[in-house]
Amino acid sequence: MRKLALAALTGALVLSACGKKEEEEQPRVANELVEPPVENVIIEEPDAPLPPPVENVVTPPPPAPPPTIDEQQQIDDDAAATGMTTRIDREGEASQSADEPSGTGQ
Amino acid sequence: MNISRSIRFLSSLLPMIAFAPALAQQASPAVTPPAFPVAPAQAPASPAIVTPPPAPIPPLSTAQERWLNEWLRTGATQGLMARAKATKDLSGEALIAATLDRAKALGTGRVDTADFLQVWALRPARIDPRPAFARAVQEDRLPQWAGQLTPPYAGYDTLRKGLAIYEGIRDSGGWKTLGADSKPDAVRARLAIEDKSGAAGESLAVAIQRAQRRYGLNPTGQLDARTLKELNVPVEERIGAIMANMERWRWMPRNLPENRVQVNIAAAVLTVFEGDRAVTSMRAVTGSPDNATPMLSSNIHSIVVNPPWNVPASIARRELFPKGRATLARQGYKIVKTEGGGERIVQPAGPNSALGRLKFDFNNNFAVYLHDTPSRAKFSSYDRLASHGCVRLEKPVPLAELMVAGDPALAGNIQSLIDEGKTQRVSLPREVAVYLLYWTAFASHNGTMNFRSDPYGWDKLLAQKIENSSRRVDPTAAPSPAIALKD
Repeated sequence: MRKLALAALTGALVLSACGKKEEEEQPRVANELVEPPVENVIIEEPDAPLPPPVENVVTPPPPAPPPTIDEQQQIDDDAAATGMTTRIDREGEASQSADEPSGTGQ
Repeated sequence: MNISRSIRFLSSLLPMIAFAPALAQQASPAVTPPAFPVAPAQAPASPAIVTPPPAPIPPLSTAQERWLNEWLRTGATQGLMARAKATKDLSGEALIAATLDRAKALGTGRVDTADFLQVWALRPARIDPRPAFARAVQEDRLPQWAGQLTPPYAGYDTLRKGLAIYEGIRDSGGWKTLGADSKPDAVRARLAIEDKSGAAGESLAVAIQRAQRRYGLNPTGQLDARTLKELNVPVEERIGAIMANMERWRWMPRNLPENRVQVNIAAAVLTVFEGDRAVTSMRAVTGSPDNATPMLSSNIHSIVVNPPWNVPASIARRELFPKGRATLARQGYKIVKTEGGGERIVQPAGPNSALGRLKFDFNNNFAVYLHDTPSRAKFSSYDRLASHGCVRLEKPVPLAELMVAGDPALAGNIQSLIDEGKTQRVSLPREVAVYLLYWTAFASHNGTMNFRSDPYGWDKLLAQKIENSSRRVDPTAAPSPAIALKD
């Protein structure tokens, strides 16, 4: 009878220890299951919105103050736009005969 | 604007303006005889009663034939064709015919006026190049003769130089397309292809601003969508624009009145010239793409102070009558009966009149004129092609003062006349020449090319017409696929 009681107690302790061991390992298993998605997120990081700063990077130039154009410059610009009608003296450009070397055809 | 200086200008200007029509008909004072007889720019063709026999051409020497063949190969440098082709030397009648055709093209344009749009009302004078050519052969002065064929203005010459530069760019491969994400170095390199005036160490924003001014855009210094669009226009299209503008220069009279008002329709700006010197300028609002302002020349003869607006029938039918009579009445319009039993709309003079306080009248077939406007906000915009075809003025009162300065009874009194509120017509002491022109390519004083978008599509149309005409009649013209694609 005493032998039977001792064997039962031993078995219970063994089962108890196994059970405890199972309980201790449960979180570790859970962590392993969670980790792959975390690793996936890390893999997707190249698409993150902040690229590393690089020299000669694409950034819009800061707004520039409007250019300063004085009245005479504006008049000159408008004159060019409406037709630059300064007369050209063609006399000096063509004062040779057909026998002389010419610059035509260049 | 310096009014006192401007009044001084007009004092000297007006006596000369008085003779503007006469000046327009006089031959150049150059010692060398003109390459062809100069006729009035806008004169109607007088009926020919007797047709004189064609001037005989003296036999050409070998040197003259060689020179003419070489000269004929320079058509592309004058924008008469996109590309020249290698041709055999011509001789005899074929050489003379090709020479006379080229002379006419350089003198009055490649495109026949019969092929003009109606709104291209700035028509070149008719010329017969044969007599001057015969004289040049006789006197062995062919280079001088040829040199005088093209328009004697810096505007034409700078375009010719610009054409050579852009053809060089084309032959070097053109430019790469930019995007909003293009790197600054790429943007700088692209800008430098067309604009060599950048200073060392200059910021990219300043360089972009300069480009934006060259394109008539708001100079923000930002590489925005409109700036990118202009920078990405293919070089072939820029060449086509230069060619079209050179052709328009060939339609201009060889002797412009020294004092005149010039409007660039495409850029919506107006400049007053004294001699060849610009003395004042202002912004304008010109016709929208659906209501193109015509190209023309005329003379401003009078100014209407406090003008009512007799609404053109087309505008009344399209825009006003659909609003309903009650709305029109509430907005101050009056509906009046016409003699034919119809109706027309009149907007009485006043501060809200569409014509503002001043209207500058000149004879033309399109019922367009220069005028004031109550809608001032548009002048601060960089998109100013918004009128029904008339030219709205940013500074009408100073312009009117310039024009009446020669009349002591009127000088300095324009604002007083306006304040009286009465509608009255003021005849100018001297008529003032006015030119409505369409320039989409022009050089700055440093030679850098400026471009405007082609709001009416006239550049593409004209480039096509030039190309078609060249292929049809010029043995040295090669087909240009780039231009042909512009339809």
